Amino acid sequence: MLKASTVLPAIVGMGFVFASGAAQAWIANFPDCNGHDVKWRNTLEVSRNKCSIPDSGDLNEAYWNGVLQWDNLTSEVDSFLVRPADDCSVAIGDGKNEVAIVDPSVIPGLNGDTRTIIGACFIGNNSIDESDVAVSSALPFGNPTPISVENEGRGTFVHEFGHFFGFDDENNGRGAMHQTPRPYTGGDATASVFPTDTMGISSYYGLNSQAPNLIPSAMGINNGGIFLLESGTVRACRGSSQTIRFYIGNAGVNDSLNGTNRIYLSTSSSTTTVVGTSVRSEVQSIDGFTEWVDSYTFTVPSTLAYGTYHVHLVMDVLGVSAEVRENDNHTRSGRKLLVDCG
Amino acid sequence: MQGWFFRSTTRVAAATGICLAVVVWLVFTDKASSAVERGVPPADAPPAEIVTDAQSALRQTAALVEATLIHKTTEFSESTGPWTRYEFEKVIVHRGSIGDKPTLVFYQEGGFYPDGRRLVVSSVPELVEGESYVLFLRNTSWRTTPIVGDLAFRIVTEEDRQFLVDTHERPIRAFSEHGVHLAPPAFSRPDLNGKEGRARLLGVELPEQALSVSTLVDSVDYQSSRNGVGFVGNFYPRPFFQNAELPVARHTKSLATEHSITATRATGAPDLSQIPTQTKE
Repeated sequence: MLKASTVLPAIVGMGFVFASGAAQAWIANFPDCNGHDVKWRNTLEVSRNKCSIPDSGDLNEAYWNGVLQWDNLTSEVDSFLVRPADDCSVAIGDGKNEVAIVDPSVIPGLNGDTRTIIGACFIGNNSIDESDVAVSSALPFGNPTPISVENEGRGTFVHEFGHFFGFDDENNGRGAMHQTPRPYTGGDATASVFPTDTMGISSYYGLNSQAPNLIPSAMGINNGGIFLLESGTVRACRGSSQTIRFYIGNAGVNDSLNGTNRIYLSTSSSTTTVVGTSVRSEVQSIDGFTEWVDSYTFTVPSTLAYGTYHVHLVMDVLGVSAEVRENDNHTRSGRKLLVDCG
Repeated sequence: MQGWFFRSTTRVAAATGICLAVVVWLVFTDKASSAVERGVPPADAPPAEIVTDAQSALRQTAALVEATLIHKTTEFSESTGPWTRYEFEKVIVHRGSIGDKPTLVFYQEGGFYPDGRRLVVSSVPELVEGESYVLFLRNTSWRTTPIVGDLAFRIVTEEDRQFLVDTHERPIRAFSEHGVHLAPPAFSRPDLNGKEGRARLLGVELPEQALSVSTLVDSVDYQSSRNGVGFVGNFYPRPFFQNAELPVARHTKSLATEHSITATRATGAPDLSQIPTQTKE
């Protein structure tokens, strides 16, 4: 055994200093080296461990959603590689950036963890030299519902790839780097990055596009914890007034144009297609990298058929703003309305 | 007789020599001392499980300990990679047991390579020398850290009140059946070297309701008795598997589906049909 403590004091004495991360509020970040970001600076390859992540199916899609939620914004990854199928381990410190599924006992009962090797911080900046991602095999890997508060794999992949790109946990913001539970949007990729995260990736690597990206969620944050803004089933008579809260954000750089955000009541829970009765429209422009919780008050239509309804929000329903991603504008509330009176 | 004596003496000398050689071999190969191997979870130790609430946390907890970290040192070998050894004093075992020693020593994955590079493991709580902590220590086998589910809390005295803050500097407001309830971060985080940080964040109020060590112990007692779990089994300060390699969970599906994948990268799945397998995707 070599005691690293015998060599480190000399390095420390020569200026090994990590300053705390930038003070910008709620931005996903990592401790700096001499005021410089600790990030990838050289050719970056990502290797999928084929022994544990198959070539198709939910697990494969969860892997791709995890890495592309970040990399589609910045194209930092130079190559995506596949390890041979008989390579059933992840070597730490071999210079390869591997992504694998592991038994939960290997990562002390956690959903996932990421091992990052960072260069010595001596003079000037340093870089991430290697990062290996491990996600628990005990998790479900399908697309989570917009109101999921359970441990699940897709959000874990997004979170761990945030560590991969150099970001620390960020429990002040509503983003993917929050520890579980995390916020979700709707659509076909509910496990997503949020403004907190895109501010981070923008400051580290720059973004491919300056376009806005509107993103709604049924989840808010309070006292550092993510929670459903609304939940349960509430009886609502026709003609009654109801108020539902949604998180709305713009994860892009530029402000969105004045677009119509619309509330629908629908017996369908799907957030990939818009079907239902429109009950409220509001024209809004949202500044880049901003977010807040909005309340939408509406009247339950007197002609609405009796039934149980999900409350949906579709942002920029008319598609006025060209966005970085167009399939993440639709979500639904955790609350359902039971319409059986009036 | 004389021959017997010499033969006997020779036998004794030979036996003594063999014994000495065995002792020397045992000492230098660590086989004689269980001290080195002691603390490694046996093969039949229960595996670590996901922590989702108080019950699952306490079921995996051997001891609730208060202690001050006095020293941490990276130990490195090519086969294990860097591991950090943590040594604590002023150890108070509030609940459970960590064995018969008055000190607490354990290991966590991560630390420095000889060339100054550093391995940071996202799931390993960062502990700072000189600080006092309350720790939930595992009764399970483990691979990365013996601390249960990030339950490592620094003891802070502020405004004449005692607070427990997690490694993200969030004070504990309560410990219920759902687990730990945390307030927003109230202090800046120490840097990766354990320096600076821990200053009060401007504009952040300390929570009215916050747990101290004694009230946390009370809350833990309540949840422990309510769920009938906690503080059984042994604490193992060393990992069951100390190797710079992670075994993966093999998937069981056929691998022969590569060319059926047609989705593009932009939609979140790879287009593998046009590129060689085993290397790029």
